[in-house]
Amino acid sequence: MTKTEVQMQSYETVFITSIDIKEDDLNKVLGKIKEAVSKNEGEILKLEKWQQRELAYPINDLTKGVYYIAEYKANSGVVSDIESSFKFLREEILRFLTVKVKLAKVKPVKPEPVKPEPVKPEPVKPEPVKPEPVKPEPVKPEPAKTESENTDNSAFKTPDAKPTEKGGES
Amino acid sequence: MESARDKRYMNRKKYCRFCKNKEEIDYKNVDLLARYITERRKIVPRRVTGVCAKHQRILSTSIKRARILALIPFTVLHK
Repeated sequence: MTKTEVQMQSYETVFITSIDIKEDDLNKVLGKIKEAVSKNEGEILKLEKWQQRELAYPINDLTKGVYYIAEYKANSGVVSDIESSFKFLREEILRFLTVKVKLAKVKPVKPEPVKPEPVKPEPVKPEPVKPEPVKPEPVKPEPAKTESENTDNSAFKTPDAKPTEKGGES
Repeated sequence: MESARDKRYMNRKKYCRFCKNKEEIDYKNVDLLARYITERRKIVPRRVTGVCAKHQRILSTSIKRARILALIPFTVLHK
């Protein structure tokens, strides 16, 4: 499991489409990404529209474009799969750029706060120790109960004794 | 007079703001990258901005990526 996680890389693809792209064409593009990611045993982390903005320079005589971001985690074959499929969608996609995202740097950071957590339980352990003195307390009531039982018995005995006394009297 | 001259040439020491503020350089952050580009859309040398070598490397690659995505122009001579 760990080996496959190490091999898995996370990537980020940004691509630009024209403003008046048809829904079918857009779904075709998004479908290609999903297809490539699922083929390479990965998962899509993010797939959304980023923004619509004016291009810094005209591409294919277009001055405006819509930017989309796709973040995914998969085996290294994804990039070539996605980029080769994008090359057949030149009418839909003006530009695209795939970049390796360093989630690996984020991962070691997460374990670090996890390590202190096991340390924290140690101070927590003294707390379970405290309940131990508490336990004797419930133990104490028990002898109290036995005492009460004894008293009850004595109380029972005395009424028993009393009738006998009474009987003796009668 | 001499003291006035000294003052004129005295510069505040430059520092790498990415090291100090721990800002992350991202090719999508256009406002940040635009600060490190000249009027002619060239990358500003680090001797001017004071950015350290490590961050200048990251900065230049992210400016180049932003250029590819048409977030920043390559030159003024487009069109």
